[in-house]
Amino acid sequence: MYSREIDGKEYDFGVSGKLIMNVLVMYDRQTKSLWSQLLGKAVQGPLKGTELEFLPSFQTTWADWKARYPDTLALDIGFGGTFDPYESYYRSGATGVIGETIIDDRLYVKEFVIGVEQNGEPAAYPFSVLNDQPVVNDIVGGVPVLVVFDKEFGSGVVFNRELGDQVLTFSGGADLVLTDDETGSTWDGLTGTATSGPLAGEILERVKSTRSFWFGWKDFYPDTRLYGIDP
Amino acid sequence: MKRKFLLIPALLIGGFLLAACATAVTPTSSPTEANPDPPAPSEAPTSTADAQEEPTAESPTGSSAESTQQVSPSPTEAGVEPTAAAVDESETDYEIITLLPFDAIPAIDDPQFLRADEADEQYSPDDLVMGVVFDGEARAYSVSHLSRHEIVNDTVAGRKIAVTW
Repeated sequence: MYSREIDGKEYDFGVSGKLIMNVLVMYDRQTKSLWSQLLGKAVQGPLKGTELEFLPSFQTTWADWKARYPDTLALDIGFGGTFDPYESYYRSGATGVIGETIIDDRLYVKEFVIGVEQNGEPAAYPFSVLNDQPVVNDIVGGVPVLVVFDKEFGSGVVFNRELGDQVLTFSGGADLVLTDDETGSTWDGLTGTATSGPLAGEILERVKSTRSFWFGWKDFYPDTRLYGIDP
Repeated sequence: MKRKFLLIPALLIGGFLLAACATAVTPTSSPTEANPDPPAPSEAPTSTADAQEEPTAESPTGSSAESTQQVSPSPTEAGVEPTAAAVDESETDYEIITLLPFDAIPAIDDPQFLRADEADEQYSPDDLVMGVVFDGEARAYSVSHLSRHEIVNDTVAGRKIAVTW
């Protein structure tokens, strides 16, 4: 999810039909620059080098979303059904159309990871590891991060666990309810909001993250650290 | 005869969709004004330069419709002044593969929305959605529908957003 505004100017995006290392390349209709979806950055054209602002979004089920936000609107999708064309692709061993660019057998190519890159340091959190450890306190590129994994929906969010001058350490995870060791406050793991305790009302900042197949992430970041797998 | 012509674009589009969705950016960044990322110095770490050298060796040129083009390190064109924080001088270039013409997969430019009770007719309770909230205004986008369009250009609470999958 990105902002379509750059320096106060509105842009809109289309699908370029091009790929970089098997990952979608968008283009903006105003300048025809090409943008890597994974990097959120223009890689060719007049805006080359410009980055889009990442915006926080959530992934969950319709029932859960509606319960949280009863006044929500939902995209009208007609009555084509909710068949996902990627369904069989998720399970097959084939990767992108051009094949893998880099072979790295640390993980099954089609496993999903949550990818984080801070200050030039990439880290990937495999779903198989997060499944056993849905709350991860880590440091990436000097930034203390909290990875919260929702087993039920297979989605993850990443927060900065530094609040003011305090670095918090989280535990828990059942039903996305977390507790920080420092103050004992209770947190909602989906939104990063403290719901009770001394820090009630505080909100953790989101950290840019990407859900990706392992093969896509490591093609972009071959020297990535692989949490829970690397020694 | 006619069938054959249809088959080729169909395969291409299918292949592209599969590939394109290999990665889905899940949101992120601070909901507040404070930017959590320190001025993003080298977004594309030096490692990506290595990544770029490998592909030629590894990537098969299977589809006849593919044409590769190297992104030329075109000097930043005059007149465009990208955001200071956004410019990355150490930029590396990537190999770009063309599979389909522009807009062969149609982004959604004029999204229409339903109230939750109306949407219940189109969404099952366990359907995955991507959700956003800005200024208390919440919107949900069907993930399977995003899979077929890749991009929704939308405006929520005055904020211009690109929902990408």
